[in-house]
Amino acid sequence: MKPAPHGRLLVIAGKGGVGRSTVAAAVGIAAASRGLRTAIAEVGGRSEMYRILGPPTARPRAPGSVDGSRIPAPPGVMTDAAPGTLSPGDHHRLHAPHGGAPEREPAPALRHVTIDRRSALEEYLRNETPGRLPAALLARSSTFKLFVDATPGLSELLTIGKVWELTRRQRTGRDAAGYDLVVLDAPASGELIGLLGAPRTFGAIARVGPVARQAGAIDGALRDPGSLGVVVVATPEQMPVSEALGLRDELAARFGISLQAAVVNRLFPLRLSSEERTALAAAGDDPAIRAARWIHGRAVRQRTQLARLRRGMRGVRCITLPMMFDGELDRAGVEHLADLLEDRLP
Amino acid sequence: MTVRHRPKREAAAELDLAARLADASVVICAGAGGVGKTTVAATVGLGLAATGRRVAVVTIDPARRLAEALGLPELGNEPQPVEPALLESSGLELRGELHAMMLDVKRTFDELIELLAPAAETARAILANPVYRQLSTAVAGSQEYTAMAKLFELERSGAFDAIVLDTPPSRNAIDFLEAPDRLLAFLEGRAAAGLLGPTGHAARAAGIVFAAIRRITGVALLDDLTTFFRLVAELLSGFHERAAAVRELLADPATAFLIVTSPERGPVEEAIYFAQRLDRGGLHSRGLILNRFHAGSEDTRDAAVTAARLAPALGTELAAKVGRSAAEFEQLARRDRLAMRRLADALDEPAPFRLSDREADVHDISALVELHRELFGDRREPSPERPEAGGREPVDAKARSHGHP
Repeated sequence: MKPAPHGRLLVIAGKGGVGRSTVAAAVGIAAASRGLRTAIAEVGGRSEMYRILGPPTARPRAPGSVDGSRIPAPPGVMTDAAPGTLSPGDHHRLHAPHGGAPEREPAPALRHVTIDRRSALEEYLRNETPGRLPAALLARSSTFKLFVDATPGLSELLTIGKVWELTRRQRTGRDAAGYDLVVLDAPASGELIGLLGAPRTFGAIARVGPVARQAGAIDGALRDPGSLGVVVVATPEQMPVSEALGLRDELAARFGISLQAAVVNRLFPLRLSSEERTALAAAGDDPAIRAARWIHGRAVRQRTQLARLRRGMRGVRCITLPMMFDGELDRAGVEHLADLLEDRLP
Repeated sequence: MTVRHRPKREAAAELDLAARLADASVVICAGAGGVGKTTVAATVGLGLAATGRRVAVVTIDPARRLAEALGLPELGNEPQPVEPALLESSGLELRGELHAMMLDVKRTFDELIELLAPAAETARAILANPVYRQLSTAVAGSQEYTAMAKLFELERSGAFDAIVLDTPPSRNAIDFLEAPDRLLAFLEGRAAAGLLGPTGHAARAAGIVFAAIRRITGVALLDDLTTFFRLVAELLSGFHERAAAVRELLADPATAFLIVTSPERGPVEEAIYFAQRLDRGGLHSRGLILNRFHAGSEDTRDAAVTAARLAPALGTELAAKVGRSAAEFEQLARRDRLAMRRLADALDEPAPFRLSDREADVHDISALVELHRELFGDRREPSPERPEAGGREPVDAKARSHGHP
């Protein structure tokens, strides 16, 4: 990949419960295995990522190990956080899969970043505070905290600002280069719109000053397809498809952003011909036959919704992922999905 | 807040959902995003209206799902009656009334300001303030806060016997309880005090901080904020009373929380966490609804065994396909049994209510009526949908009472 002035932000959006985190993890793994320096970012909350990517251990990372190339084997998934900004419990060394055994092939570093408002604020102040007032003092000031809480859009701005910062080649206050790709496991659609709109929300109430300027810069970058891509995840069911189509409309209307792709998750197998379906309809009340009829019925209705999504997406690529019946996905399952996604996503 | 104890679980376990909710004037459906809260809220509303109560269902979701399901072209910010004939045509007779609305966050917030402002002039000034305009739409927590405000208003109006509230689509169920307090703490004046009236040492320190803020964000923002808080200060006592009243309403024994979850691991853990939080806060859970449940049969676990068994009747090829599908279905069913056990163990809830996963989406009135039959109806008679999903663990009242160790 030829060096760009900055990395790319790929937002994985969609309704709750459709497997957004799983798809974000798979996209991250697929990108990292192609040699891209990749971070999977999520905003606050209790993390699904830990479960998907492997169990965390509370081992604080030594300062200076931010650069992936300096991490000794096994290369696994790291939580990226500026030393000192998070409590020790927030530093997670995520082990390689398969019982923590070292991976033999040197995989490129894939990192997991959890962004919370407080540390985003402190980091911002440390790096950006103008004037001579020490950042630490400002961060501790209760008046300043109240100000941040009271200013609509400011904490969302700091959050999206931190996500954005991860894509910079020259990252503020670090010697490390930014990531080639930052995969954001986005919050629910409404919150995501709030997050992407934060630079403008903030710009509407503060028209001058360094934060407003920076907000303007982020807002501009968010409208550049070279900088930001949005992938929507849906299951092929009525409401998730409606929400995906609604999100597409809202992104276009409010931000001028076009979707990059739609991922249709948990597609049931359609394995019966219509003759076979007719044969089963007459085949009595065996539990296995009832189950097969149910699976088939669901698969057929899913095709209707898939077709509706494809029509509504008007040319946006729709990628399907199969239903994984054998429980929730662990790292191995996600890697399998990553293989399926390879070359089909940016 | 006084901590009240919920009714004994053993007693509650014997009751069907209608009985459990018989004395509830507020029902709050909470759970992780994507588990079907909106559908469950509509179904519960239907169930209460069927037994003769005047019910308002309040949905939050901007996807207009409830409107779709209830045959309303659009839901406004005030409850609209659902046409009884529509339900009758699907085989459900309403002895009461069903109304539905969709929360309009900005409008509800505006109305609250107008209600609480001592003078029309103050209200106008607040509504025009740039900080307020963003606050009322763009800020996390405003959805949750206005949902509770609307709930309170409807409850106090006395127009309904029961209000069923769907909760906002956040990732974590607990946001619903926490976000309003965050917003209230802010509006109740702690922020205002910090920004408006520091004195002594605090004033000197604040002066330095203000100087820094001005450099970062410019003077206009600080002026808008200061104006906003000065205006809002006139409403503080109103907000304060309102907040206390809402907290009281949530803790009232007639306010029933229904925890909704799907059988997936994330939502199940979220449901457990939420239930424990309710308990600690002295709030009342009246039941757990495990949505999208699959009742399978362990005999179909092995695809090859099923294929061999059915080959004489279906032919080898079709029998193999049936074997695979049945084994897949059983994998879902097994996951769901584990979820059931996990919930029962963690929450000391012997009888979670189950709603089976429908082959089809629930987006019209007849599907909603079928769900109603499953959740509220006579469960000894199988509904027409269920045999599709059926198996060893029929979703009936008996199984719910005795099915789990």
